[in-house]
Amino acid sequence: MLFGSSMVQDMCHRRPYTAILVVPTGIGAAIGGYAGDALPVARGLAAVVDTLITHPNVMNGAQLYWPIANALYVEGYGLDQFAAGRWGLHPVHGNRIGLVLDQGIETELRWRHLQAAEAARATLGLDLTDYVVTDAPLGVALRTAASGATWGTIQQPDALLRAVEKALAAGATAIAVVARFPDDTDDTVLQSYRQGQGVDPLAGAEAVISHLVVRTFQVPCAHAPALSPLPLDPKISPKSAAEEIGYTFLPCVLAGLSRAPQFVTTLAQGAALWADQVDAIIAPTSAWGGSAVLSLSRPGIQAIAVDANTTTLAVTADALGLPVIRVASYLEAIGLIVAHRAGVQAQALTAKVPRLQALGQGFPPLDR
Amino acid sequence: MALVTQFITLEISLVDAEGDLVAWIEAALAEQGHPLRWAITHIDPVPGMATVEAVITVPS
Repeated sequence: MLFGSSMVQDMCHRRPYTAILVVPTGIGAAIGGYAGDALPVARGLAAVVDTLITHPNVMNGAQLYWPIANALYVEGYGLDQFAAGRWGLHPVHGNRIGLVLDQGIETELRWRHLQAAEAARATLGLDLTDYVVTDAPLGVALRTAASGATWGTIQQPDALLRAVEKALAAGATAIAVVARFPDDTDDTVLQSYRQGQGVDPLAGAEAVISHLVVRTFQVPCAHAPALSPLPLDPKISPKSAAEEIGYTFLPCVLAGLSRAPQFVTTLAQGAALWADQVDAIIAPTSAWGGSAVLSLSRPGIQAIAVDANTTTLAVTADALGLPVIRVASYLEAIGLIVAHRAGVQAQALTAKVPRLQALGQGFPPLDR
Repeated sequence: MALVTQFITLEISLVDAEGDLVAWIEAALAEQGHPLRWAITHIDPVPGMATVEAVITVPS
């Protein structure tokens, strides 16, 4: 009886636990650098927190997606603004999605995307406005930087913004963009990616497109590339396979945007989640140089760096002098979150509990 | 106003970046244009320098 009362009291008086899962795109993350292959991590984390905030690179698996009731699907630019405390996240029951198609998409490929959108309406019950075609080809150009990270630019950003403006005027509250990406990706790079190695050559440019829309209009946005179908390859990695099973990568984007939170920029805009309500952030150990993780590496937030999720980078929190707990795997990260949420000091779950030291001698890292 | 997207790299001093590192990087990028996406992609610990790769927009 006493046990039951204590549980009820805990549920009534404990504030909700909020965690952010970040797997940056375009840096060859061993888990999440391919076709939505960090989605199982998001599902596992979501089961032990009240709210999980994550981003399209984690949640999008082309034709595959998994609705997580307590996960917020937040585009990267918006996530950076949220982490910096400039924007809040306002959960919604549903969004009306405006579909923006690059004029550079050939007729047959455009029909494939329109049919994916129609399927999302009829089969999933999603709400879409009529679609908009840009008034010029967007001209996506891909680039791999010296670090190994992929980036990209678009030649006609104004054409994209004009099309988004039309969709918003038609009543859209979230924007799905489909841009024609070049098919002439380096064959070696493409084959590596399909075999679950190397860096996604498209990822950096995808992020730039959605970032531009979110920065300009402060609405949820995500992007799907339009590409010609590739020939069958029996050696495709399971991590990349989700992008081999259909004509478009659009379904996951529509599913994610359908319930993506809106952005608010002032407290007066109503109830929202703000950065000061975040309890934990989880990211790859070697990718600690992004805006969101830097903003949230501060006292009061459990920052967890996952060694197993290797990337092409070597930017660690240690090198930046930031306080994080390093763990071997996401399995360990989930355990750490459970302990943190329960108010249990993680070291107490190991066989090694060091003696207290005089203040000022530093606190040792987690010793297993 | 028409926009152009550009990829740039910056070398920044971590030694001089006291306090808010994000604000420090954003201020350095703002001298080149309006940042869209950026990350520290390399750290050289001995001189305390970091490489930032970014895509910015600038007026055409």
